[in-house]
Amino acid sequence: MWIYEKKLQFPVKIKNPDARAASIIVSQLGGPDGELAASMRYLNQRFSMPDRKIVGILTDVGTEELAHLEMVGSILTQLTKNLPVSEIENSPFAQYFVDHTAGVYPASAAGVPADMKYIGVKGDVIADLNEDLAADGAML
Amino acid sequence: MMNMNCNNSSLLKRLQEVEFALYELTLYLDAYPESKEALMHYHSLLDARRALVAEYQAKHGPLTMYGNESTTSWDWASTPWPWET
Repeated sequence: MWIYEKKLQFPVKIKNPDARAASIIVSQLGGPDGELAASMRYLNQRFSMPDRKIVGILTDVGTEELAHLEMVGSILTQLTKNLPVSEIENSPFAQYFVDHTAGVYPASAAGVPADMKYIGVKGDVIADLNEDLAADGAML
Repeated sequence: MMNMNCNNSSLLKRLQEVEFALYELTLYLDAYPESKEALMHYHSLLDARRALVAEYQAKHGPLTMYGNESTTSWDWASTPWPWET
């Protein structure tokens, strides 16, 4: 199980809203190598790992990715807070805004909704760790 | 009355620093559980975290759902969420 801690892993304090930045950073939330994909990759690969130490690392790294997911959501929320309509209309954020307004929706920068077809879970320690290296590099 | 301005708290920053270090030590110990030096650092930071959590919760309210120390009010959902500025 998991317990939520009511704090960010690292402070997020954005002073100036920026629609263009939000339209790019959203990929770190729901893109192919975003935090959602990363957390699901590690937390589901755990079950078939043959070594408890590897399960430990995947559990702790996967949990940390959930903390990163919350940080990226916080960044997007602050980047889009009180944005004037004119700034939305004239930015790449307009296409996102039409479907989600300023809600935090896991999608790639190209607008493709987050999909688990991006992740690899093969029940094989070498295949799965190789997938993690390719996607994140955090397992090094 | 709880301080609602918890996002600007230097106490929060200190807690974030200690927990950041503890997280890195945890990942290191997962891979190198035989490291006595890492385990020593872990325990020293764990003591620091325990004190910071107690101080933080007394001033700013619950940090987890198990931290609602008041027996007369439910503060868990009413204190600021971490992304609020």
